[in-house]
Amino acid sequence: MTAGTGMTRLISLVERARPEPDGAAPDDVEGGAPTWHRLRPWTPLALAALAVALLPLAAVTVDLDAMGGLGLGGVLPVWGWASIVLAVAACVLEIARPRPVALALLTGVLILCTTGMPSVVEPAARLGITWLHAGFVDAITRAGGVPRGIDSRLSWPGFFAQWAWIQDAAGMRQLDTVLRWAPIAIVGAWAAGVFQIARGLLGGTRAPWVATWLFCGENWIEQDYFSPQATAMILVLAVLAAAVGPLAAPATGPRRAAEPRYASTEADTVELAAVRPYRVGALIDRVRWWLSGPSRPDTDRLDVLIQWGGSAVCLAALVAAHQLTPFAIGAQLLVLVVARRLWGRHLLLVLVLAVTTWFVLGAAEFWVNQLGLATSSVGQVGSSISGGLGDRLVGDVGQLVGKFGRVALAGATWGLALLGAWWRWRQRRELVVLALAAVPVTIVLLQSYGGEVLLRILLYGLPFLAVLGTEALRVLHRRWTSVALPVFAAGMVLLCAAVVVLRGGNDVYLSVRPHDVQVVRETIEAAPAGTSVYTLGDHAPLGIERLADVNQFNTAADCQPIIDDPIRCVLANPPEYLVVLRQGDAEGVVLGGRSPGWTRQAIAEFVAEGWYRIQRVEGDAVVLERTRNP
Amino acid sequence: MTTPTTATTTRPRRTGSWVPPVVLLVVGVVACAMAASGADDGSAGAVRAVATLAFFLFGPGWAVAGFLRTVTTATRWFLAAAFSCAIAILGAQVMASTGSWHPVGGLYVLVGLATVPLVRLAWAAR
Repeated sequence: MTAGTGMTRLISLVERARPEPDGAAPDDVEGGAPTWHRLRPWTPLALAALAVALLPLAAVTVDLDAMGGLGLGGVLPVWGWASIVLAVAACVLEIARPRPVALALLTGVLILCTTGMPSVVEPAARLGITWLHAGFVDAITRAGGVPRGIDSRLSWPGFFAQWAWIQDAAGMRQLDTVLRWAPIAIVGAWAAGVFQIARGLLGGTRAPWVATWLFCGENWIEQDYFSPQATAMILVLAVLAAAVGPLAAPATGPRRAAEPRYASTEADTVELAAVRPYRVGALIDRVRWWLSGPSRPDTDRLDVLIQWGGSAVCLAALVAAHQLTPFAIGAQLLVLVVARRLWGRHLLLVLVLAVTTWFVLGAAEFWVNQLGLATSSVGQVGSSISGGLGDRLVGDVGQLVGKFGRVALAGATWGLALLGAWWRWRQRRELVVLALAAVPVTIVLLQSYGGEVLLRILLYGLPFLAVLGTEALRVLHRRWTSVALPVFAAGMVLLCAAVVVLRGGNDVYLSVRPHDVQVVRETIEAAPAGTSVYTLGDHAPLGIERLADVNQFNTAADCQPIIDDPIRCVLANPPEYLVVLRQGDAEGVVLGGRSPGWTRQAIAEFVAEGWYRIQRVEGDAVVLERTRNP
Repeated sequence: MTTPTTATTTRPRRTGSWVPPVVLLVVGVVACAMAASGADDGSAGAVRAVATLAFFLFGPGWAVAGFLRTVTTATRWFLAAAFSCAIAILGAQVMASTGSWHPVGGLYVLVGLATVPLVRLAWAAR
C-alpha cells in the first residue's frame, strides 16, 4: 500500500466518522443513497408539477358513464395513473435527497393525486350521505337553531352548526364546492396530524414523512368526506399529537425509581426484607411509582399550557360533534395514562366531564327517546362484525375485487404494524403504540353503531398502525439498504394505485353528477310542505334541503335496501314524488344482480298502473309524481 | 464527507413570522366588511365566501397557536386549523343551543376576539 493510498483511506474513514451536523439522528440520513445526491434539487418539484398538470387531462378524458363494478379504477385514463406514479416518484426522490426541503408540498401533491382523484375527475361531491349532511346544515340555517325530530344525528349537531354558521356568515347559498373538495382538505389536515404524531413517536426527520404516506396509502376507509367524524378526527389527531409530543411524560421505569430506596443502605435492605419479601416490596414500589404521577415534560411551560388548554377545547368540541369518537380517544388517552406516558392526564377527566355533561344536557332527547335503540346492540360483537364485514361482501365480480382488496389491505396494514411492534418491543420493551392502535377495538363492545363501527375502529388506530409500519420499514431498510429505495418506491406506487381503486370501487353508484343534484334540489324545492320525496336507490343525493318540512327518507318497513323489491317498497308508503337517477340503476345492477334498465321497467309499471305520472325528464333523470294512492 | 440533513428545515422556530397573523387579520376584517355590505353575488360574493372561510379555518386558532414557542411552522398551522375548528364548533353550538343564532354578529365577535392576540403576535414578530 502506498503512502498516498493509505492517507486517502484514512481521510475517508475520518469523514465517515464525523458526527452529523445539528445533532441529527441517524435516521436523518436514511434513504440518502449517494446515487440520489446527484439529482437536481428541482427534479422532484418538476415531477410534482407534471403530476398536477396531468390531472385536468385525466378529468377531461375520463368516461364516468362507462363505470362498472370496479368503479373509478376501471375507467381512470392513463393520465390519472401517470399522475399517481409521478407524485410518488417526486416524494421518493425528494426524501432520498441529502437535504429534502419540499416534503410537505410534495405530500400535498400526493394527496391530491390519490385521495383527491375522485374530487378532481368527478364533477360533484360523491356519496349521498355528503349531501344529507349539507341538508342538516341547511336545516339549521333555516331554523336558526337545531331543529328537533328530524334525525338522531342532530343530537350531536356541533359540526353541522359550525358549517351553518360559516355558510350564513359567508353569505353562501350552497356548500356544493365545499362538499366536492372537502376530502382533500380533510386528508391534508389528517396527514399533518399524523406527521406530528409520528415525529413524537419515531423521531428523525424522514421516518415521520414515510408514516404520513403510509397513512394516506392505507386510508381506503373513506370517512374523510364532509362529515362530523372527519372533523372529529382532526380534533383527535391534534389531541394525540400533543399527548405524544409536548404533553408526553419522559419515559421512566419503576425499577429506576425503586432501586435507590432498596439499595441505598444495607441496613435499609435488611430491615425491609424482614418486614416483607422483596417481591412484595417491589410490587408496592411499582404501585407507588405509578401513583406518583408521570414526570413533567421538559419543554417550554407556556407551550405546555397552550397545548393542554387547546387539547381540552378540542375534546369539548369533539363531544358536541360526534357520538362515537370521544369513546375512542378516551380509550387511547387511558392507555397513555396507564402507561404513565401522558403528563396532561387531567385531559381524561375533562373528556369524562364533557361527555357526562353532553349526555345530561345536549343529547338528553336522544337518550330518553331512543335508549332502547342505543343500547340494543351493546355487546353484539357478532352483529357488528357481520354488518361490517360479512354483509358488505356482496356484489358483482368488480365489487368483490374491491371489497376483498379492502380486507386484504387492512390485513396487510396490521401485519406490517405487528412486525414493527415486534421490533419496537425488542429494542425498547415498549408496546404502548401497539396498544394505542388496538384499543379502539373496545368500542365494538360498547357501541350502538351498526356494522360501520369496524371502519371507524380501523380509522382511529390507523395513525399508530402507520407509525408501526414505518418502524418495520426502517428495520427492513437497515438490513437491505442497497435495494430499499427502489423497493419502497415500487411499493408506494402499488399502494397509492390500490387506494385509488379501493376508494373509488363503489363509484358506479356513489358518484353524483351536478344535474342529478339539480333535479333532486328542484324537486324538493317545488314539493309542498308535508309531502314526501324518495329515490329509487339508497345512495342518491337526497335530503339536500328542506329536511324539516319535506319527508325525504324511505320509511317503508323491511325495505332496506329498496333495490331488492322496488315496487313493494314504494307502494308500502308511496311518496308524492319519486326521483329515479342513473346511479340507482347501477346500484341494482352491481349490488342486487338486477339487469340494466330495471329502474325503467319500474317506472313503466308505476305509470301503467296509473299510480304515478312522469312529471319531468332531465337527461337520464326522471321525476315521477303520484297521481293516486295505490 | 458529511451528509447534510433536514434538521435545520424542521427545527422549531422561537419566533413566528409576522405575515400569517397580519394576513389572517386582514382576511377577517375583509370578511366582516363584506358581511356588513351584504355582498353575496358575483365576484364580491366569492371574495366574501373565501375570506370568511379562510378566517374560520385558521384565524381563531392562530390567535392561540401563534403563541407556541417551540413548534415548527407546520405544527403551528395544523394546530391553528384544529383549534379554529374546535372554537367554531363550540361557538356555533352555543349560538344554536341558546336560541341566539346571529351568524354575522358571531363573525364580528370572533374577529374582534382574535384581533388583540393577532396584533400582539404580529407586533412581537416584526
